[in-house]
Amino acid sequence: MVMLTWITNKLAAQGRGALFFGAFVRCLLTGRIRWNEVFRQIYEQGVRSLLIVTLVSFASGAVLALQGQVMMARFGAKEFIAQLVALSLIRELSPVFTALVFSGKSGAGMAAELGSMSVNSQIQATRTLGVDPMGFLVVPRMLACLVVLPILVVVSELMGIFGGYLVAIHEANIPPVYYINQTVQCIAFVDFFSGFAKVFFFAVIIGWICCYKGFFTSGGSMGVGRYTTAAVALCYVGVIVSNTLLTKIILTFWGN
Amino acid sequence: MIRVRGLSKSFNGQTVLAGLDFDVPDGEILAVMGSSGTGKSVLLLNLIGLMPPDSGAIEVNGVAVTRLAEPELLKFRRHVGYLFQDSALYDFMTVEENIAFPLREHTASGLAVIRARVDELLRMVDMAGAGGKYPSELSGGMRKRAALARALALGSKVLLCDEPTSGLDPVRSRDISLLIRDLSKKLGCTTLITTHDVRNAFRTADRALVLHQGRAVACGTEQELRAVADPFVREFLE
Repeated sequence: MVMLTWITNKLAAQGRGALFFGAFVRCLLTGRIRWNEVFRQIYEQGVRSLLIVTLVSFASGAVLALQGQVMMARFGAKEFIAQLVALSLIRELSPVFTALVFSGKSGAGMAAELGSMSVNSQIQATRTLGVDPMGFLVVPRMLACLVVLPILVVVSELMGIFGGYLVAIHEANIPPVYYINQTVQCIAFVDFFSGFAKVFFFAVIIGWICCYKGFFTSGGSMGVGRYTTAAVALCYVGVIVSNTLLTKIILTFWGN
Repeated sequence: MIRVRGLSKSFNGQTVLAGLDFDVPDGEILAVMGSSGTGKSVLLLNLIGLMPPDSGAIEVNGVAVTRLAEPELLKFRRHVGYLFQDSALYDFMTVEENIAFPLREHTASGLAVIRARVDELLRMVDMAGAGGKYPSELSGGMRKRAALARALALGSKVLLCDEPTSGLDPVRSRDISLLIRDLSKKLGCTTLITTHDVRNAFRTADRALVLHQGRAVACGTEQELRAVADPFVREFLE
């Protein structure tokens, strides 16, 4: 009986989540878009995550180069570090790492902000003022995710490559010009596309989960903590699982 | 005018409102009193269409609220001011921005007109000069007044106030009660407040209705209610 209730509750939550997304799409297509709010959210989400994305990406690129030079030296292929760093970052690591970091910073921020508004009756107040909270609170945040995350991914790729570059020229003694040439030459459009295409899916997943969890937060300040944590955990699972599926789909169609 | 007929609402089998009937004529202030958990807030949420009743009819200024779908409810709510128990001001906006919000959303007025209206509303609630502050910088009483200004921004002729004195000291409670009365009378609003603060309810309202176990057990002026023999009403008022 307890198991059945648990399953029913989970199914109901999935249904409510789907309805929430449907309401977002309907509002996006038929409602008024509050561009001021969208720009405010772009600024807030971007600023919130920029520094940490920069640091994480720089360190990731540097570590890739450090490990790469050791591994590749064993096969006498040390001069291919540039390719290793650039392709790893652009095809896989930057989109996924950035999405995870973005979930933890901006996603958590969104969920906590909406959650706090929910428990303090501000979402209800929006309705009493004759304004649809979906259009005022959710649409701008989700649109901002779709703008900010791709920009952060490009920043992450550049910073990662820069981190790898510094390690390669100082630790592996690879000539700077050679490293840059190798990087530029190895990146084909399909490499960039295969990584970048996923970012938009991640943005939708993160925006959806965090706004949904925040919007329906209950239980006071403890509830805000609980729902925010759940939102971030769900984002991590959503990003990692969807990345597996998307990678398979992309490799199937654009494998070469 | 607010007209409620046979309003019932229950949660998980527990009846909160059981066939409630009452009217609030145009321009009158009615206080709905009752112990905590007797469904006063539920009544207000039903009145403004944020919660559907199980049965019964609600009419506000000729609009049958219970028959409206969400898009129509959003339009209807523009004509009803709602003061929340915890003020529910947006944390990320200043007081001015909070008050200007419904004006920006629902009117085509320019910035200068909106600013003038906001200044007028701030003066009405004795908060001139505090418009640039954020809600977190305000006392409980000031937050209530700012929320009252926002509720009245669109010139609503119906005002619903949920526990306007809760969380305030006796002096601030008196001040907000008198302010609600003054503004309601001055603006000609039909006002319904829910409260368990008997003294301030009679300060604010023309009549009061006592709720007990989901029903209206008494309704009238202070003198009329004090003459009621019902033991619950007597105990509640004392």
